[in-house]
Amino acid sequence: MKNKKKKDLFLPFEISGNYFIEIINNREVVLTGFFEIIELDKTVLKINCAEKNIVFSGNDIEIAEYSFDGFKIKGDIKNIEFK
Amino acid sequence: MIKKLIRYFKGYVDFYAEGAESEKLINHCIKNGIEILNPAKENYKLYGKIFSGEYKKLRKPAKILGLKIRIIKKSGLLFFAKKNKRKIGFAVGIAFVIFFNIIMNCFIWEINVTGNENINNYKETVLNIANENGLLTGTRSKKHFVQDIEWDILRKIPDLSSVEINIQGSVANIAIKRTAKEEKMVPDDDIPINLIASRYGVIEKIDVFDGQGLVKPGDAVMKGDLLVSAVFEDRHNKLTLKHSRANIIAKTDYNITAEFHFDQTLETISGKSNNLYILEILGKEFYINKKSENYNLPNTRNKKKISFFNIELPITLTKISFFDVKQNNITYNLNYAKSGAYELLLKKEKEELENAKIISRKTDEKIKDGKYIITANYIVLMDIAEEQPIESDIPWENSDDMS
Repeated sequence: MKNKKKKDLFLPFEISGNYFIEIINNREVVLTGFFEIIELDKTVLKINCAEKNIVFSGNDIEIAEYSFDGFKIKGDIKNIEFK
Repeated sequence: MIKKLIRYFKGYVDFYAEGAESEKLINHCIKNGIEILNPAKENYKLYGKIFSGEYKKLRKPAKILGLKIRIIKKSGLLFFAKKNKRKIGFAVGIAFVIFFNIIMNCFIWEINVTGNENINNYKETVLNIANENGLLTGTRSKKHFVQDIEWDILRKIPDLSSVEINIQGSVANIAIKRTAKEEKMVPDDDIPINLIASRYGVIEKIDVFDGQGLVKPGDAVMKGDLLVSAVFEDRHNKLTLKHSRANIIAKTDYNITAEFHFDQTLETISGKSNNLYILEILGKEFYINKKSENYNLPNTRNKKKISFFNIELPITLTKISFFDVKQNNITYNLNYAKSGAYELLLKKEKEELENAKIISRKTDEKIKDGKYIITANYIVLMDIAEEQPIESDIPWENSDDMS
C-alpha cells in the first residue's frame, strides 16, 4: 500500500527509493536511483539499492560515470542478478 | 574531447586507495559530490583519477575507512607548468611574439598607391591628401573612415574617376583610376585682338586666318605697326570686330650677346661627406647620430625599408649624405674663355631662336672688363606678329558663336 502510494505520486527515484535500470546492450547499462556499491571488481559489480542487491557479472566491468543519482556501467556484461 | 581538455586544464592526479573496503570510498565520493574518473578495483586496490583540487578531500575519509591512499601520477597544464618552471622564459618569449604580432597588425605599416597608367603624377598628391586625413604609417588601422578619405581625394583631384582604399592588416592600398578625358575646346575669341609687329623687318609671307590683313609681302614694317586689324569690313560694308589670327613671317635681324668671365669662383663638391641616419618607426623619426647643422649643403638622400627574411618591417632607414663644398678661384685662359662664351651663345640661340629660321650669323668678339664677349648678329625669318587687345564700341563677333 505504501509502495503504491509512492508510485501514484510519481516521486523522483532518490526520494521514493525506487530505481530504474536501462540496458542499452550487453556492454552498457544505466542505473538511475540511489545506489551503494558493495563490491567492485573487474568481473563483478555488486550494488545495493532499495533493500535489494543487484549483481552485474561479466568481464572488464567498470563504472564509466557516476553522479549522485545514477551510474553508467560499461563492460562485457553477462548476468544481472537480483538478490 | 572537450571533457579531456577541461581535465587537462584543471589538472588531475592518478591515485590508488589500498584496503579491504575501498568501494566505500566511492560511496563517500558519490554522497559528497566528489568525482572519481574511471574507478576500477584490482587486488584490493581501487584505482581512479581525481581533479587535483579534490584529492585532499579524499584523505580524511580514507583514513576513517582504513585505506592507504597514494598518488601514481600527476597530469595537466598546472603540473606541466610547474615541471617546466625553468623554461618559463621560452614560453614568455613565444607569448610575447604572438602578442607583438597581434598588436602590430592593428597598425598601418605601409601605404601604397596603385592604379592605371600615368598615376605617377598623382601618387604624391594622393599620399599627401591621405596624410592630411590622418592616414599615416603608425596609426591604428581601424581608426580611419575610409570613405571620407576617398571622397576628399576625389574632391581635390578632379582628374581621378575613382579612389578605393583597402586596409588589409597593416597595409593600406589606395587604388586610383584616372579619367580618360577628351581635350576640351577652349574658345580664344574672348576679346577682339589686333596683330602688331613685335620688331622691325620686311614681310616675307603673310597668312591671315581672321581679321583684316593690312600688309603684304615686301612691305617694311617698324616695331608697333599694325599688321592685321581686328576691325573687319564685310561686303555689305558692315564693321565687326574679330580676334585676329595670322602667321606673319618677316626678315629681321636679331642680336644675342654671350659673356664669359675669365676669373670665376666655382663651387665643387669634395669627396668627403657627413652622413646622417634617421630611423623612422611607425611614422616617428629617431636620429641615430647628432643632427647636422649644415642643412644647406648639397646632399643625397637614400631611403631604405628594413626587411627581415623578406618581410618588410615598418622601419625605414634614411641616410642623408651632406657633402662639403669647396670654393675654387679659377682663371681661364683665352681659348677656354672663347669656347665657354660660344657654348653660352649656342645655348641662348637655341632658346631664343627656336622657332626662327636663321639665314646668316655674324659674330663680333672682344675682351672687356675681364670678360670674353661675343655679340652675334643674325638675319632670321621669324613670326613677328604680337597680339594687342583693343577696346571699341563696334559690335564684337565671336567666331565660335557663329559656328
